[in-house]
Amino acid sequence: MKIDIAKSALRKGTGVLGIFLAVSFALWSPSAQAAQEDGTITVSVVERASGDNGQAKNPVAGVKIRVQGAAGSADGVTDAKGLAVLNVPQTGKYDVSFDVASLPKGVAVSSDTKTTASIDFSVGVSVGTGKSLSFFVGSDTRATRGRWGLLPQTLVNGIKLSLILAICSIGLALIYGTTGLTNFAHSEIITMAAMVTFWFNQNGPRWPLLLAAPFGVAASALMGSAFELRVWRPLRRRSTSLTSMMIVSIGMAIGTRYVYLFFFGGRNRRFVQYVGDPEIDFGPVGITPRDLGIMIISAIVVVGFSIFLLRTRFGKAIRAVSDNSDLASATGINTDRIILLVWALGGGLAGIGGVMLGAATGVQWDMGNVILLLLFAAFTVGGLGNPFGALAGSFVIGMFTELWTWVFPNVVELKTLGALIALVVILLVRPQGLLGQKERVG
Amino acid sequence: MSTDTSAVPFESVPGSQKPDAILVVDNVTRSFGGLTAVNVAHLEIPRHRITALIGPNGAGKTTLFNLLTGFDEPDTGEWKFNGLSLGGVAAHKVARRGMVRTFQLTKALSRMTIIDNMRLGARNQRGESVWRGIIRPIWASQEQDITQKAEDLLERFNLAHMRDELAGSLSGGQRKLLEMARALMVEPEMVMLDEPMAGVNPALKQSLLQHIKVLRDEGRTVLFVEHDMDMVREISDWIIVMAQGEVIAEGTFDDVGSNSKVVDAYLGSHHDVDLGDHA
Amino acid sequence: MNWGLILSNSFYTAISANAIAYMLVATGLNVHFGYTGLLNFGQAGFAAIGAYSLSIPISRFNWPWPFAVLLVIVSAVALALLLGFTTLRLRADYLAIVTIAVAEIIRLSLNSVRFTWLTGGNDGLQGFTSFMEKLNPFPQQGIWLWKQKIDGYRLWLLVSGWVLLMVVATLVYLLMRSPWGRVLRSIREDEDAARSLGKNVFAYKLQSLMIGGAIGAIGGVWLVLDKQSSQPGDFATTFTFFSYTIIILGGVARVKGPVIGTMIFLFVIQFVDISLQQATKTTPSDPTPLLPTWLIDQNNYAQLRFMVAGFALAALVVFRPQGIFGDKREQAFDVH
Repeated sequence: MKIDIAKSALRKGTGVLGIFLAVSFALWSPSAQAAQEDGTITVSVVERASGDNGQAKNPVAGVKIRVQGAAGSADGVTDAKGLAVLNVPQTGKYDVSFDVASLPKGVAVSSDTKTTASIDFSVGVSVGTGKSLSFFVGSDTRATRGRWGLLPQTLVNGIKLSLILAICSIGLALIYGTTGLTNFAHSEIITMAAMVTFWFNQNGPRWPLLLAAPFGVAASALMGSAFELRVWRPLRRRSTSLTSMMIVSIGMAIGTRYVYLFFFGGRNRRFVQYVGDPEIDFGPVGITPRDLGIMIISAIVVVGFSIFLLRTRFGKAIRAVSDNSDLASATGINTDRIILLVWALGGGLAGIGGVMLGAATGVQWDMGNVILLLLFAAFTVGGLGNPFGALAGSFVIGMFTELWTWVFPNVVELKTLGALIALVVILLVRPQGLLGQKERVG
Repeated sequence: MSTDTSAVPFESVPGSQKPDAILVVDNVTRSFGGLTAVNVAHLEIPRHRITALIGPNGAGKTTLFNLLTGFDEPDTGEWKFNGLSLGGVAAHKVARRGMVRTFQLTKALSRMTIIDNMRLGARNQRGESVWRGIIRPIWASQEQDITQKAEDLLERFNLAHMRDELAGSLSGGQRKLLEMARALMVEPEMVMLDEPMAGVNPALKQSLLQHIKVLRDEGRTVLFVEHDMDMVREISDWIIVMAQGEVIAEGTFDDVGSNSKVVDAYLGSHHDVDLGDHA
Repeated sequence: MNWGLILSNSFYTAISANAIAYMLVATGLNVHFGYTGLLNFGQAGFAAIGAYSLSIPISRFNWPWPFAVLLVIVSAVALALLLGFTTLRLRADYLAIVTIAVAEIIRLSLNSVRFTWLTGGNDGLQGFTSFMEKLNPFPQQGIWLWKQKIDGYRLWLLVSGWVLLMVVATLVYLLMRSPWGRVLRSIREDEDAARSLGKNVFAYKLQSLMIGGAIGAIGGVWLVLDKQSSQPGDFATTFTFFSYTIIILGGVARVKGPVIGTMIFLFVIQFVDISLQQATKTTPSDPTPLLPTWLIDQNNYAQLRFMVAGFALAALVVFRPQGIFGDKREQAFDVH
């Protein structure tokens, strides 16, 4: 687990010369589970051994840790595993620091060492929240490769994000293409799959992730179909304007999102499997089996769905309705059935995206909403309503987002900015989007 | 005003020259993704006449309208209205220069009253500036004049009794009338009507025809796109035929009706059209 | 359940300085969406710009307050120009997405650790309200509104805010019944028609964006004056969406709409919220709350008001697009 945090910090380029600091929500691995008690902060101090590609970690024992906040403070010393568990009241913010003088001899810190970090319990308020963070000391050979050495890893991260965005945004584009609706509730369809999968994976029958996931995806597909049958089809029959329908979808999204928060709580939670596995090395990049799985499955889904759209009878019918629904229905295509199919497929795809996203970043009540803006950016950049445009747009947005962290390693928290600025700039240059067509007046 | 339509002195060839043409088009082309929608080498529209622009579906008539009125940008070419170039001029400026268009799908402003639809058309309104708009006395007297003029036009177009109704409550034909009346509020020299008869019931058609004739009699120039050949024959002084983006024929109704190219164009497009008894 | 307190508190919330902020932000949005038909989903961005144009100069650079107030208007107009020149030539649905994106760019930047020296980051800025406290003519002990106490500062914000709101609403009213407002409405109905009649649609949209944006920025100012703290979290996209709920509730393209809409919206939200708070409360003497804990408890009752707000927005658009008191025939919000 700690390896994971360190890697992600490294990739994002938060540190350069050996000492890395990463703060993360508690992960659900066996080693961490023991420490997950109410109001605890788990701090680990590890040394990154030199000359081994940064893989091995030596826990550092006997380091003095201090946690201080408005609601109280606590002191501790790391044990043989390099861990110190500190109990504090579970409110507000805490500053966590370690005493450099207490490091054992031979363990170095450099001048730009960050010896403090902060933890905020007000994020994700719910009972049972434990927070963990790690201090990394020692030198790292990977980091000495410098900026260019980090680029391949950044690109891999970009591809992963792009693929997840693509899976989610194709559905968005198909729905827009066939019905004209910009569906703000797509984010909640994404979250639905992750939550249902989480239930099967952890609360209910505790099935392995790969067995639980299809149920989550099915739930999202059902949710999409239900939306179409219960909300959008009746509204279309009443000739409701698209603007009105868009605002309806916003209302549904907000309402549903808080239903999730009500039942699921504010915490970010992990699926049981595929957490904390060591990375597989591919030359300059390291990928965890989980991320590799996410990328392979996503790529298969994207390619498979493209073939479905291009080659099969249903795919062609969908594209026909998308191009011109009046013409399509004149040629005998049942547009209502196609639209229902699009909602089911779009929902299912969003569901797959949701499970992937949940595996990558954890399951959270607003996880869909967090990436919704990136999805809109992707499908807008690609040209509204064109599924292949959404695919292209997802790659533009995904790569821009991750490359931002590489170009501006000091403002990682603003990485969404890169994508949003790309959106604005592309629309200025090409107002109809990458694969879109100009509209005719008259 | 010149209303003697029997003595039209123009040559019946595509792009023929007209003395004192109000609108002159040169080399205007527009393509959509490799498909050439409009390719007009030379075209002159005669002043003080009613000119019909006809052609099978997809001939590029509406696209040409959009280009000439600034609603779309051509790939190449230029055109002059009253001797002044209109290339690259924004749509609202084209209207201010005296060339006002209507639309195939009528654009009645549904949730505004009919009188407000009309008032909107008036030019140079003092109250349309944000600062002066706040202070009513600045524009109140002008508003009265505009309203008077609008009411006169509504009277003429038989819409006066619906003055304060919402435009959305009008029938299709009444919307066409409103749109034409509204265009007149701009006091245009040239009126461009995109399918003025589409969706109009037969009872209203005659009245619309009369209104268009009156436009010419008032000294305006009319260019209109139409599929209804009876109407074209009844009111046009001159006819321009487009097919596949190009002007293929020009002339009086009889000239055009006997032109084999025109017949081919219509037959080739499988467009079942009645070209009239003279064809 | 203390119904007196619940009702008086809900009523106060509906007319408070906080409510005035919502009314102003929604009035600005009404100029955009209601009168001009601009699908602006970034109104929270204007409010944020207004709030921080006041708090940053005063807190960080000790500007005299009139200059900061001037900056509020200037920066709102600047944002409108920026948004206008980048998005107004785009199709309507693109406008919606780009305005959300710009509002989020603003919020994320204000929230950034990088700019903490300027914006205070997540914690925001405080200590910029002393000028308003000095201007306060009311005694500090304030007054009682039935069972709700209003302190002197809040009373001052409430009174001056209502005066300001009346001035703004009157200006909007005068503008909208002028020929200028007529052009805006024609753009909402069909901008090509307006163009064909010689109206410079782009210029009018830009003016609409500037005026509505400036009003939204003033709303942002009132929001942070009331909270005495400006934080980026207050300017998330839900703020914009609730403003839509408010204007649809009160009636789109009506000057009274945002005022009535805000009062209903905040009253209902607050009523639901504190009723549930009371119903889930436990005290040492009475450890059993009114509502069973398996259903709802102290930790999750607060979610309910957002559910109500969200689903109410959807339901309103479907069932009452003309607003609560509107007449179906003259509804200004299109459900064709």
